[in-house]
Amino acid sequence: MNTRFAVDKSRVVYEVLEGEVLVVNLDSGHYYILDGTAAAIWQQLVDGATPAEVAHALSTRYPADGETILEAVRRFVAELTEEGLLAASDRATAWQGGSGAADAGDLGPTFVHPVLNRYADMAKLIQMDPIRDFDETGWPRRPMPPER
Amino acid sequence: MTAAEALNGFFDDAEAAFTDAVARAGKSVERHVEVARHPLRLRFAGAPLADAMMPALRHLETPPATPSLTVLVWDLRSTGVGLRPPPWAALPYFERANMRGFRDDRFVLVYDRGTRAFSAVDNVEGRAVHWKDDAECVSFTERAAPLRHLLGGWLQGTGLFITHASAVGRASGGVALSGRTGSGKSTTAALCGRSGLGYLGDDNIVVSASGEPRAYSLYGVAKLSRDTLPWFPDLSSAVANPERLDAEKALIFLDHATCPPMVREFPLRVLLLPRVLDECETRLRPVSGSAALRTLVPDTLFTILGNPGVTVRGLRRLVEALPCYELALGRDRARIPGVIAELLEHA
Repeated sequence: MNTRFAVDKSRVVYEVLEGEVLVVNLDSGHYYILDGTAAAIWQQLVDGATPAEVAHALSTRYPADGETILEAVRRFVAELTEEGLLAASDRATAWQGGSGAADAGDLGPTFVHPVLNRYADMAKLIQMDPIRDFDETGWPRRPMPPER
Repeated sequence: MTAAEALNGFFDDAEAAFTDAVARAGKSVERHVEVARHPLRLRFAGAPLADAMMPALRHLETPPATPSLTVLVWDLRSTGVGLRPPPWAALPYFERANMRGFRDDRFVLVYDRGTRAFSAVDNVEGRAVHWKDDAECVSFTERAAPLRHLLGGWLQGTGLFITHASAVGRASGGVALSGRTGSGKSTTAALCGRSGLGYLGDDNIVVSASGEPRAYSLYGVAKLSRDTLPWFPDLSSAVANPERLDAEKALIFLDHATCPPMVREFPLRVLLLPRVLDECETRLRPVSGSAALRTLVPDTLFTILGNPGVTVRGLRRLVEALPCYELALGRDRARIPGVIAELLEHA
């Protein structure tokens, strides 16, 4: 819970607009919409907060939900890393504070579990087998025609 | 040897190979075009690839001018001249969308396994190469959107980017239509073009999002499905691929003299997200910038290989700067252009 995370910009791009975060995994072709709590947590993580710091900030806002928040943040971070959207980083700069909510998502009066909305409709466009078979000129070998 | 030195050597070799290819082909074909006000010189070794690629670009042809980029184009089969592969092993390349690529501030390399074509751009020296194995095997996409990866790589150094959208309008302003295949953007653009709005492009347009958003024409093509082609009887005789309509959209090359006529650029006033509606009337509904971004970003990132960071930031600026509407396309197609023209009147 004390790890910092970063976005690998060669594989993931994101934009924050109107409180919503759009994240795209260029390798998998999946894209994600984060709003509300999820957007706020994302913003804090990419700003350098550890999951513990994120949970603490949210617990300050929702004091009755401390344990729930800690577990929700832990699960959400696990989901983000499993999807390849964030990776642990030694180089990530320390968090400067702030809730992140001002930039990413209006938080309501009660704690809402963060949701990672995943869309896979573009994935088939980009998934491919690695190019490993080269001919004598050094260019990828022409695929064999299907057998009749 | 650094990667930059290796790539410099690769381009030097490629230029020598092109000279050899021209000698083997017996002639070179030279065309000048202007893309988003940037002059390009296209040099082909022999005619086959020029014949395949230039119809979509002829509306951008200009008299010779000092080029920002010179592109050398040839194929192995018709010239017998190959291209030494780039030094992939020395590069942190990526593989996605059936392509292997590399990109930094200076160089862009793309090998497309689907078309067996390779493009490389050197944005510092203003030189580029496009090589494929067989000019006789040019795909629908290569004819409708020639040199797309190459031009996308080159544009990233100019502050412009290719967007997956269609656009129609007047010199005073136009609309961009963004949506997935089947959303109705191609048909809407063709209907608007025929009704008197200028036709800037279908599927691939060049956009500048810094300052006043502006759209520039890239390809002079209309692509119509077999179902909608009968709505445009005046275009049916111009279909370039009549024998393949069972597998491809009808491909129609347009220029300034065709109907609809091509226009080269206009300021963007509105972003429209079309969808086909099973109702009579066509309706507009304002949507948020974030909703528009959700459509534009995945669609553009996964269909056009530009610099993802530059593209996403540019698309964000675009949706922040423009009013965005869902365009629910009604069955009464004759009224669709009027809805868009009226919107433009008040934009």
